[in-house]
Amino acid sequence: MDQQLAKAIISKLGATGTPPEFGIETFTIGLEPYLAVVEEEYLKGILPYNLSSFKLITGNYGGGKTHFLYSVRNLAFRHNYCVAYVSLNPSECPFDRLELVYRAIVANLAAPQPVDRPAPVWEKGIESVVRRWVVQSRKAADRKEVLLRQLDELPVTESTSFSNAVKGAFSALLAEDGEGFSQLVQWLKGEDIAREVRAQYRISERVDKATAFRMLRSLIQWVHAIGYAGLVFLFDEAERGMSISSSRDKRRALDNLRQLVDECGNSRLPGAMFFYAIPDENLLLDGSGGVYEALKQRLRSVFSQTNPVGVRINLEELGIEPVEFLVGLGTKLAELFEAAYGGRLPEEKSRAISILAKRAVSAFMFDISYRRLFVVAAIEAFHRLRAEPGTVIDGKEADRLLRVTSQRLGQADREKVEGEEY
Amino acid sequence: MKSTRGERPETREPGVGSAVESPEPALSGRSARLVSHPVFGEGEVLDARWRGTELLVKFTSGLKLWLPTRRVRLVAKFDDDLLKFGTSRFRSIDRIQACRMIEAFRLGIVPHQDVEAFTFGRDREMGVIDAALLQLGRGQGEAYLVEGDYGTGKTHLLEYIHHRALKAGMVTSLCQFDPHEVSPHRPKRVYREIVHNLRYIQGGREYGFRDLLRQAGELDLSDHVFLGPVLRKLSRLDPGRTENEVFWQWIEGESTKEYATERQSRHRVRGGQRIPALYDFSTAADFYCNILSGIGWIARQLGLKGLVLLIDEAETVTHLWDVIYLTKSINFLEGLVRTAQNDPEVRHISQRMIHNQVRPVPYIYRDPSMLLVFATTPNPYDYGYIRIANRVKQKLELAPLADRALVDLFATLMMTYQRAYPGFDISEFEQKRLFSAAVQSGNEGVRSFIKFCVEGLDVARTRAGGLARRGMVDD
Repeated sequence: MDQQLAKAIISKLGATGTPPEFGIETFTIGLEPYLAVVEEEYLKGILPYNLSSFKLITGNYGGGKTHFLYSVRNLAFRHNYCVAYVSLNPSECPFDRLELVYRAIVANLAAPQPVDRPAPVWEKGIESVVRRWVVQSRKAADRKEVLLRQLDELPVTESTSFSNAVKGAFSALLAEDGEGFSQLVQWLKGEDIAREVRAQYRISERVDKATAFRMLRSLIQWVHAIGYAGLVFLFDEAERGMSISSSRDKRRALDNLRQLVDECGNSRLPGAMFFYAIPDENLLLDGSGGVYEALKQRLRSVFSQTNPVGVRINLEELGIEPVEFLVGLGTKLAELFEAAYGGRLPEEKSRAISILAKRAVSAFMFDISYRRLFVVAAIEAFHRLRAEPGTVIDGKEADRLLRVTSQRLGQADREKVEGEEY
Repeated sequence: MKSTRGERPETREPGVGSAVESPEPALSGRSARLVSHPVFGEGEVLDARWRGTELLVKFTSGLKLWLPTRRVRLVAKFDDDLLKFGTSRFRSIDRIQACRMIEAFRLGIVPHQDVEAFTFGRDREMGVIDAALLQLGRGQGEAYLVEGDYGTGKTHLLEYIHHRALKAGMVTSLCQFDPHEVSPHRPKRVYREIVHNLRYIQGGREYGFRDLLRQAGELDLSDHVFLGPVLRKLSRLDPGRTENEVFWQWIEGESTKEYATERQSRHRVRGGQRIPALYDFSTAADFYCNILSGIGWIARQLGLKGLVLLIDEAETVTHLWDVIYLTKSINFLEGLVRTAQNDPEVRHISQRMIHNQVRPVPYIYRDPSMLLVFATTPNPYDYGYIRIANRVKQKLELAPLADRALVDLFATLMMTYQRAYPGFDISEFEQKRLFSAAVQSGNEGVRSFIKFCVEGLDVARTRAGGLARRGMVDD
């Protein structure tokens, strides 16, 4: 791996323990059975046949949900799927307001990209996908009339307004009409545009509560129509999206989720796969009333044992003992560290990894972020070993490293939450 | 306590097809009255009380106890030979269809398109429903009560009707009562739920409530107290204006009247004051029945075949302990039933029914064309239930699925699964083991039975295919 990229990964992991958006495979452990199922049975299996699926991802804070979602994203890119990674939150993107969820989806839509290096920020959002569509169409046929004919033959999506908007954006870009393109992209992003522009492009709908599902379906249909295998939705931090004030809002959010699951079950979102990550399924399903019961029936696994094909993917049960998992992870991180800083770490690294892993599991197992804690502490230990090759990381030192890391991450989390809530 | 209603057991059973007193003849090798308790071991059910929530069990140790039903597990032993007679539907489906179905089953859903074919052991009920839909197509509405204990498949039957009605060109809404959110003593909430779930199919496309009203623009409903002014306003609505959404939400029963009609509101809908409010009173049963019958009338005028309202969990009416709420709930449900039955007495303002205090209207508007189906658990000792049950003439009593139906279901599931994963094989012994386990574990009805079977097959397949580690799938 490129040294600078390795350094960037180590830097991100060492600071917060949260995974970077690229190079995720270099330190992936234990997810193979799940990823193999996602790849073989869904991305290569049923989705190309216009079927759809929904998976609930559960795992504690720092338990690898984001890591898993990024891994799925990379797999999806490799198989020519567009991806929308959406971090849900109660103010900008709560699940009870699908029109806002739609906005977040189109803002984060990404066409397949290389996964071993950071993607430029402008390679995200529906605008970039439309631009890429135009560029690729031009490569295939550069005569304007041919391109326009192809555009005419493009299947119409469920929402004619959506169809008209994407076609209009394509034509505007071909005609180098920057203003028109910008207005249409604005509408596709769910924002209001001038009436005359709507009239010009025959856009009669708005993206609102009542049309959000239709727009979502139309987005999926369009992605298909322009040559991608499908669209993978990754909803992260869903617990934040659910932490909404009134019970009515929560019911609405759950109702939307139920509808999404039902639409997948009824294959009404062809080629789409949804991943919805939440620390604990009980955050979602513990309640009384019809909507809770309906969701429970859909999303709860029947067996207590892990089923990699099941509707629920539990990242706490990877089939590897926790210490074994952390040792494997630490070994991969050490290799990454060595690639980042050149040269080899002293042999002490193996003992450090082992001790840190055992201590993290025994003393911090009940800390919900013990995996994240281990990652940050291990990288800190590697830095020390690199600076002072004679350093010995014994049990006491490992405990100290983990404790200090725990306090630091706890403080950072608190600041983040307080900063967002007020 | 023994049930007195139609010889049905009062017991609420914890297993699929596991009635203590199944109407089906007992099958060889099956001991349906046996239960297992985590502490006291196996025992025999002697009696049940409190709507089957408690069972009197005599354990093999001689101990005899009343226990909550949920604390014991039914031990159903099926005749091993039964599986040999399982027949399988869907013989002609291709692999993609099979994959689609299996993926839906994993999500606990029977796909809409398969709901008809994936209904087992309900031939009689399906016949009755088809006849009722046919009658509605001729303009004759009716009210039905679908009764059955938990897990007997009431919801599935409603979904079946939903599917059939949509396919037959009817405007259909399937919703569920809930004591907090959609309580029958709050007609506006019920209206909102009905409107939210309203669907119909025309020209191969699905439409909703807004589409129906937009299409109704050409009709003359000037004599309808609510829909008349609404349609007038709709015809003048400027499609480009942002306040339209507020207006629509208001019409759909959302609490947006303040925004819609307050003079100071920037979302104000001009002319909104001339439209009668969607009253939130629990006495407004007449108003909402009148609107719903208006929707049924619109449906007919637009060439659709009437309105089908499917209401699940209707027993919610029995959960209202406040006598005033109970009275108003019953009044609303009775109003809906009499509207569906096109009762001449409620075609005019009837003094015997409760009305809204602001603008009383007849419950029925013109000829309603409405089929109403309630699904409920029977509760023969509850006043609310008795009132409604007495009012509805047509009843469908669902017994737990007979063993043969469960076996058919399982056989079809097996065939579908093997069609979806052609290389997968499972021994007959393993099939029987899975089937028995599914029967014993299922206490939430057929849905959980199907889900159990599919997940069991998934586990077996992933283990065989090496997709899961040994530790992941071992018992």
